[in-house]
Amino acid sequence: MKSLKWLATASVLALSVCAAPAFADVSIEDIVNDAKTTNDVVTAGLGGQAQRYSPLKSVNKDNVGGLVPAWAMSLGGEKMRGQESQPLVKDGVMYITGSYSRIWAIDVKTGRELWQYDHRLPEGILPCCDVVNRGAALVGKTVVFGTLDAKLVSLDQKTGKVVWTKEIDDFKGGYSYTASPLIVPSKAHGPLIVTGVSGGEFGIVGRVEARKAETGDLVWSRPTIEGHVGTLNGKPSTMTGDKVNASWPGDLWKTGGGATWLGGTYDSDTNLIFMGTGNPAPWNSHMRPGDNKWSCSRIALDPETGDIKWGYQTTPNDGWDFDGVNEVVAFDADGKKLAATADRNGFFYVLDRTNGKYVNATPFVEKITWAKEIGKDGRPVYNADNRPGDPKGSKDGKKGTEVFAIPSFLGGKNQQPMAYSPDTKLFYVPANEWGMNIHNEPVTYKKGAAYLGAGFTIKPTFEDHIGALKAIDPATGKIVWQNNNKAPLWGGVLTTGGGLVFYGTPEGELKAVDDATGKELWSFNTGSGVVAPPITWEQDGEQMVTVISGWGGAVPLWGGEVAKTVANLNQGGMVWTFKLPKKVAAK
Amino acid sequence: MNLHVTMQAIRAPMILSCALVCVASTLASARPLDDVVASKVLKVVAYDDNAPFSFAENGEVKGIDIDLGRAVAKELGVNAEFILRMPGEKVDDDLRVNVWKGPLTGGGVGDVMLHVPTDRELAMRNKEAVIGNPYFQETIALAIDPKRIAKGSTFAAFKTHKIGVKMATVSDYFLMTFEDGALINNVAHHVKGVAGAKEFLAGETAALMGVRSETEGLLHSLGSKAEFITPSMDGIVRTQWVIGTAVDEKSRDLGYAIGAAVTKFRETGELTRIFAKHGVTYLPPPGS
Repeated sequence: MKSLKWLATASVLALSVCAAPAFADVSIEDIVNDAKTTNDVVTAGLGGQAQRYSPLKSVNKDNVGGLVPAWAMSLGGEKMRGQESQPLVKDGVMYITGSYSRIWAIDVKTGRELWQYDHRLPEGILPCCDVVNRGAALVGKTVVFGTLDAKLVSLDQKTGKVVWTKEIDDFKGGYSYTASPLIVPSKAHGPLIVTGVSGGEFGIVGRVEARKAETGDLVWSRPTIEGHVGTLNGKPSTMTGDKVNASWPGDLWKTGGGATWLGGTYDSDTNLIFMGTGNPAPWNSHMRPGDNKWSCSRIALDPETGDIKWGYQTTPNDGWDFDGVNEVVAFDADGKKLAATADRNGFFYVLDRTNGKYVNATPFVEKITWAKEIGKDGRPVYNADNRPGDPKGSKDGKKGTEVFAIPSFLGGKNQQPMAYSPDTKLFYVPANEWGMNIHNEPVTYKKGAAYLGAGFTIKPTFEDHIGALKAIDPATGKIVWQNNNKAPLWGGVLTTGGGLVFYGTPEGELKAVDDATGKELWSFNTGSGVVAPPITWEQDGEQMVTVISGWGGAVPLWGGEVAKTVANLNQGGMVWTFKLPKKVAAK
Repeated sequence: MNLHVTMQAIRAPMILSCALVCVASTLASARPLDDVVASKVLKVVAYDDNAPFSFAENGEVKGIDIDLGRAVAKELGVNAEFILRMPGEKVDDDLRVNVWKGPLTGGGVGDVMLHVPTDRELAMRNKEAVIGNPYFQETIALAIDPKRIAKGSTFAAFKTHKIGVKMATVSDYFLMTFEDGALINNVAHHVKGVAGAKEFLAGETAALMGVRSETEGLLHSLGSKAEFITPSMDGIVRTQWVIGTAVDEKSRDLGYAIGAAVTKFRETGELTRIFAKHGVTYLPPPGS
């Protein structure tokens, strides 16, 4: 009925009648069960737990070599730049976001555009790290995405018309939004849209917010820094942390940082939202002795209230810009409910996801310098001489001691999401081997005034590669296999029941490798760098694989030796969808 | 740095390479003097929310940069047009966005910025812009409540009195690390200058440390003024710097013409008048 009704008004769309998708509401059950349903992808991460695993196996180790493009669609215009978005698919329609806060609906059978919405961006906004967007969220009849001017926009799935727009924060204060919004169920409020904040000038406090999916009205807000009080239904709720100022000096907790810019994951088993938090402010760690909670941490939130159920800090008193924002992926092993995260700081952590208790942590990149190990208490054992020096202690009083720290502040892993296969019980982590010369530096200016900055120069750890896709056994931390890549890996990973791991490279390749050995079984040159996560789903009995290609993101903004590995990459902006030819699939 | 710039985030300050691997800009390019004169408009880019130098109030642009921009434009025989933009993480970013390359999201560059530190290292690493025409001395100073802080005080006074400071500035760093953290519990941080000025006027802090021009301007806008002291600041990374202008490297002749105008305003007392109108004491750069 719905599709018939819609067809009557579809004449404005360049769409043939026979290809008309049958739009149905995306229910909260669809969202919670996304990992189990193979005919759609309605969440970032192919399920709230974000394992990025699909049980589909019609494309497998034996036949993946025959994968060919089904269609491709250009993101067009002059607006190329980095494409970091994970597509979503529901009822024959694909929803993708692109650079410059754009979003499209595409007919998955033909690759034809159904609608496009270009968010009108104010002049002169200054996103820190390219004009990316990491994807949308589907809920009910709407598709929701965040914009570079820090708005949350809800659009009608059928028409691309705006249902509501809400401001996350004032873009004039340096805020933006680039993550995929997270949809979680709640008993009291119905489906909620959960977002963090990106950017903001020095001295903001990170927070997580939940809004009603239908109206965009704020339900709760949870500041990430100890001492700040959250809100619930417009009233003050609980305080973050046990007491004000337990781990900050003076009044710095008031302006402590901890931005939640990469979004979160949701585990329906424990009914918890997992969010990561960014670095503390100010940058110079010598000014803020103490742990500085909950900066550089993972926090678990109750969807009903926004209360923090547990927190785990990966880098207490951060001095290297090791944002703790990387995704928390829930998995089960030996009957235990666990979660893993591959931190910027180069350690791969396994936690008890019911209470945040530390289980183990092992290095997933080589030659880490800032800490010897993660101790039994879950705290890093620092190498004291690898903390950038306080300028005060230096001879000329101008530049603190320079140290060479591994990983670099871009991290052992950055925004590119990892995957977990319940078949192999391995995590597939898109890692980067690089370090940085870093020092606390006074000779910088902001807004025309002197201020305290930091100097960074990123250097590859090895001569022949920066990127390395690593298969990690979470029980032991052992790296079972790794595939090196010359340029840094910046796209995400997908793994399947067909025994495959898919990932893209800045050099432009989408690859499929054997999940047990890493052996390359297929690759396709997409024509521009891949910095986005692939997806797979089943369409009318055929397994499809999609990735968006378009070089950009933070890496090309950095010079030095890293630039050499990416200097000749061309920009682009293309959605590629693959499948097996019918003959090969039948083999 | 959402790198993070997180930065993203609150991104840590970063050094962006000049060798950006990006597509060539298709934005309006900066213009030499002849083009500016022919178009009858000088496009001045100034910071949004940077009182007393540039800010918008009820839709009207105001401030020292605005008055100076108008006076310079008049000297060149053209009209001034102002574009107020957000600051980047560092002035290096602002030069790229406002003077020689333009923002990623469109809008193009202006002809000149009038509030740029004339620092050699800054100039060296931003060769696409020409920084020059030094015309104003910035200093770090303390506005004090004389009832509580004596004129001859040292920083030891803030072991017993509160002092306000803007987050992550050189003053903040100095106060937080003074005698291994001896003042930490009396340092009151603010993010916006106006919040710090209000706390000072309300007596919540006995002193306000920061860039003297900003403090003077903010207090003036709140209908007040204060006494300033500059106690010995051993170990502070920077107590003063000089403000000048920046134009595109290809518009050097425009930079010279603006320099001639600014020099004239200094000699005629026009600069002193413009600064005084906004409550700021005009201090010429050393040696001029």
